[in-house]
Amino acid sequence: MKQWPKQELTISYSQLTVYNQETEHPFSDWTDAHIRQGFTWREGAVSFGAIGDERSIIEVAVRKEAAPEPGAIRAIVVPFETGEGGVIVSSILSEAYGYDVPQGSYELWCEIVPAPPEAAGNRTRYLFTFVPCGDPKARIAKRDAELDPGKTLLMVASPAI
Amino acid sequence: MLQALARRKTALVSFMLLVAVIAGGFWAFPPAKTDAAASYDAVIYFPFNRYPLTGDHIRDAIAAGESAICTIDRAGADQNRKESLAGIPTKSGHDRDEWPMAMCAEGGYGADVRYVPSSDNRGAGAWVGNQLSKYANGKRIKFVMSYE
Repeated sequence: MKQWPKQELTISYSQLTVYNQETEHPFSDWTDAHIRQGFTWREGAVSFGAIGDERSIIEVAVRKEAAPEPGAIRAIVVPFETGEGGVIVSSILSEAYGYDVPQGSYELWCEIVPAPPEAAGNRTRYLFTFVPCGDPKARIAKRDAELDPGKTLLMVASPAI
Repeated sequence: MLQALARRKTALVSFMLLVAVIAGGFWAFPPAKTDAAASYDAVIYFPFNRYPLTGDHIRDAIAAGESAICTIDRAGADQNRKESLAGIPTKSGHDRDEWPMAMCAEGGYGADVRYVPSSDNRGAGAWVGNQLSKYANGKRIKFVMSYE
């Protein structure tokens, strides 16, 4: 449906955050349970654990259906209700990119595709895909060795203020 | 009578000279606090009790001589991190915390690095992000520990 140009983002403190533009304090506290499941979630602000603190590629799209990336080592799906002002993708003290995702209810996919080790200069890709959904559900669609989620995902987080 | 007047005049001139010297001294050598205040743009009070392990690292690094001031330099973060983390492997369940932070001009080669449990460190980073995102590159932020 819609895909924005790729952007580069420097990741710090091992987290990327997707949040509604109007969110005042988008970054959240992490508990051990959040670390194990790979994300923190609250209304309008989701932080995903990164696999490295480094310059990375960000790709954002809105699609009618999910199209899982074959090269992804991790795929996390969370509910996301977008606001009027679109969403922002950022990390700690880094660039902040805005996307005019239409207001609505979505499943937000976060997929991580590591840079091929044999190709020097390549960067890890983080794919964020918004799929319209009236009844979105959180789940780990693909997990790597770093994740060890409990039976029930923790869908509560507090802003780090 | 004339002699008494001359003595008073001399005393008055001496007093005025003394006042001028003292005032000049203050002007030429302002108190250290004024110097310190001019060297940063804002102070943030890091909540030690919420992120004790990251706070412990920051406190120890500053005590060991690292800068308590972060000059925000987003563009330098990637290169700084390559320099500060070179040769330090990752460790499961932990983050490699750097002080000064990589996104500070003071970071990079020689920064103090410590393994900190990921939940503590990522929460601390999130707190820093919420506090500092509004500041432009080049702003100098002083970190002070708060134990409240």
